[in-house]
Amino acid sequence: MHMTRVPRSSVVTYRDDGVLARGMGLLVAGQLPPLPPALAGAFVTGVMLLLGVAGADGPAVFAPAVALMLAGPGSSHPHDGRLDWLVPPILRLTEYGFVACVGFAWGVPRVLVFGLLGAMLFHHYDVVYRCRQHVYPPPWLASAGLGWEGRMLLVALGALLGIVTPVFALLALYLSALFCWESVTCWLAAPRSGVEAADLGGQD
Amino acid sequence: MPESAYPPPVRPPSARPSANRPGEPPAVKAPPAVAVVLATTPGARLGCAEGTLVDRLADQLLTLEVTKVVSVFRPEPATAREPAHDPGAGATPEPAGPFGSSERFERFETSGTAGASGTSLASRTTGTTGTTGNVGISGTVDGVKGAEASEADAAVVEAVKGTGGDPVIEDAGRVIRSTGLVGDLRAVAAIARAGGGPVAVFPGDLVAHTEALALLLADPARGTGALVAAERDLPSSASPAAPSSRAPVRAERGRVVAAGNSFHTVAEPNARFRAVLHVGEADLASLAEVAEELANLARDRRLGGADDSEVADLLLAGLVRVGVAVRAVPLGLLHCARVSGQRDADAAIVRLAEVDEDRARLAAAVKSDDGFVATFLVSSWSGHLVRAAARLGLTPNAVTGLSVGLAGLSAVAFSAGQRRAQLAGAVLLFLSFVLDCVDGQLARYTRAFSPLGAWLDATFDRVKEYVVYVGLAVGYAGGADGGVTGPQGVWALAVAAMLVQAIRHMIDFSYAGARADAAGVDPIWERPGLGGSPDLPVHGGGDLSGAPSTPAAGRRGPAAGAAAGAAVMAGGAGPVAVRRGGGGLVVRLSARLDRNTASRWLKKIIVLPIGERMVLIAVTAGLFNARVTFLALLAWGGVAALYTLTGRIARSL
Repeated sequence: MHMTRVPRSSVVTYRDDGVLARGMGLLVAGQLPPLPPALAGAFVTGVMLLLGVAGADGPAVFAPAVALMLAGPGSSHPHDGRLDWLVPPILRLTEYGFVACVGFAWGVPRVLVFGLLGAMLFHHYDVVYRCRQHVYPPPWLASAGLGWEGRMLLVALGALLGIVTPVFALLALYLSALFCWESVTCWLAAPRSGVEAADLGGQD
Repeated sequence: MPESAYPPPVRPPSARPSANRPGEPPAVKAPPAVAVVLATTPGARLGCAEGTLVDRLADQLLTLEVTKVVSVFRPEPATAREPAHDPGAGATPEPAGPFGSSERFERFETSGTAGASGTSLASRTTGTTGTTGNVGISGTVDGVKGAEASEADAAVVEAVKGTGGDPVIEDAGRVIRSTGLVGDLRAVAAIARAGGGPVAVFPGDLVAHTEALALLLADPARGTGALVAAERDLPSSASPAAPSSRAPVRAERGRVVAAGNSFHTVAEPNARFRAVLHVGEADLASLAEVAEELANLARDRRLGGADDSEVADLLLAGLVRVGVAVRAVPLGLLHCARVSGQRDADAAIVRLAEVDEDRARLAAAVKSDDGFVATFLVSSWSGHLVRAAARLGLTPNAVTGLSVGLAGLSAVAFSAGQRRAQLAGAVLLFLSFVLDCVDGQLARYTRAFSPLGAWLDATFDRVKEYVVYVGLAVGYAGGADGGVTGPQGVWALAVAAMLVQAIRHMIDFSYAGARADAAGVDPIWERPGLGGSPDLPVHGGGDLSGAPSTPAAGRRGPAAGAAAGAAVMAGGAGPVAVRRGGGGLVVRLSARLDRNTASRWLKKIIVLPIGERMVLIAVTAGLFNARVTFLALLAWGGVAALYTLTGRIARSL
């Protein structure tokens, strides 16, 4: 069986950084506290979405780049500050909010909006639930899944080029295929019993 | 990335060799436990229908899966090496000993996997008892060992030889003599070091339901756990002099966070340790270290009045104090108690018969810390379904599948949009939630929990819920296409409700993950998203000479070295990190609310757990329409998010 590293920090794993965010993190070598820039990124994205999202010239198409510039460098921080656990939910809020707003503003078919959001949600829940059961996702999965910043940038690129619907369709297809396939193969290779199972949830 | 600062640990479970059956995925199955029966107290020799209490316990262990049984008893001539620490030394068992007959011992042998030896009891006599340092193995035993003993047995012998402690190992590791507390602890340390499976410690004067022992021994995970009884579950007839009443523990969120005995005290105990401790393979090194350390402390008379009836209590306290995660396994309606006299023993055995073991097992399958709806509207009657499902041979995963199917039907019904269909959808949704509770209860009832099952359950909970959102939105929009976001923005509302829920979950996960990271505890112990008592208390835990001990105080693994371990256990001012009590007012308010039953439930309800969500959806969609459902979900979910965030930020500061 292949050996998967135990992630060094749950919070960093939950960030779901892609290649770009991790690259920016390398530049600052963990010296930047992650929470304030992530908050700023969410705030700026929210303001830009309010100002305008419909047209290719709306400021919202630049929100992902700004969010990446702000929140990306924090990715190399160990996230051991007292409130650093707020970072993953803030990144989720930024990403989900941006994708949903662009989808609705550009009149993307609902099934595609739900499809893309569903794939992203599945991935984020899947990472948490698998870590609970000690079946850790491989490190390449975050890169292949493009990361929060990669998905946002692609959607923004679609808006810039006026091809939002095809981008949503392609992303939804690619991500759901990737995340489902990886999860299933990982579970097929995992031990079935004899290891501690976290209690079956019924309360969350 | 500063990799060097964070040495990547290699995932331990995959390192274990696994015996694969052809055509099956690699199944890492932990071996069953090595049972250590401490037949060292006078109570072990009390009589009952099966002979002595130890015989009774032995019969029970035979029906469960154990690798082998190691019995610890006192040498025949009472050597009384430790008069100060061993008040029971004068009343050591007679040579006839805990295992009255060689036939019984033979039965042990056949139940084990480490090879059967016919010369069992004969080798019990040796001339080396009572000598310190120089532990000898009798010639007979050496012969047996060479012929049939497993490597693990040999390792036990070697380990004991090396420690210079008291216990004398005989009969290839199946019988150990020790002269007192120090020797008992060293024997446990040696067995733990020898490996060969998890180690379970039983006092010989135990009267317990077999089902109670199975809670630990038949658990497929074979992890570390201790049987506990909640304070309110203790039989009022239990005599205060019974040894078990001396072991208070505080259990939180399924985990022992502080454990006491006659020497170690516990602040605000909420349960009693019921004398049975099971230590998983992953924690054997810690067990050996703790037992050795405790033995040294006992030798140096630094454990106060702790005596040899408290071996398991001391071990539990030590394990908790060095940061080992010990699952608190509640007895529920079952009995498991130590007895101190013949009348006590007879009464305890009579009391066993008063309990329907199957009913107790069913009751234990219900999660104790559940939400309001799950507890009162589902678990109050779902036991019948669990039993029926078990009788039909349904697996928990099959029940999960049924639940998903019902939720799908419910979404289809909601998408029709008519009143009658809405009502049908509401009923189907509630039934789906009932089955969602049943799968977990069935898994606990049949002891068939697996990581995959837990993952499937949790993942499909989310899928079910969000599919129902889509169904509701489709039903509300109907044929009328009211623009991009649907009529009255119902699609936007559906997406918003979904995203609020997902972000609330992420807050829970991330907070739990951060706390687990900081404490060095496995996240598997963290149950995120509970409204009840979501946090470890910030006041000092198991107080021992004023040294607060929370799980954060002792980090797991080699970091908790012998010196620190000794300091933790003996109450010295060791270099322990004490979790800072922050967020004063909010935390105190939260703790105060926990004391009152009504406000405790209110705290659980306000965070809108899944049961409450399902009922909210069913009621609003059944009586009103999908728009009302989404608005209610958004409003309640928003309040819940603010409430959770406030509490958690206050606790983090």
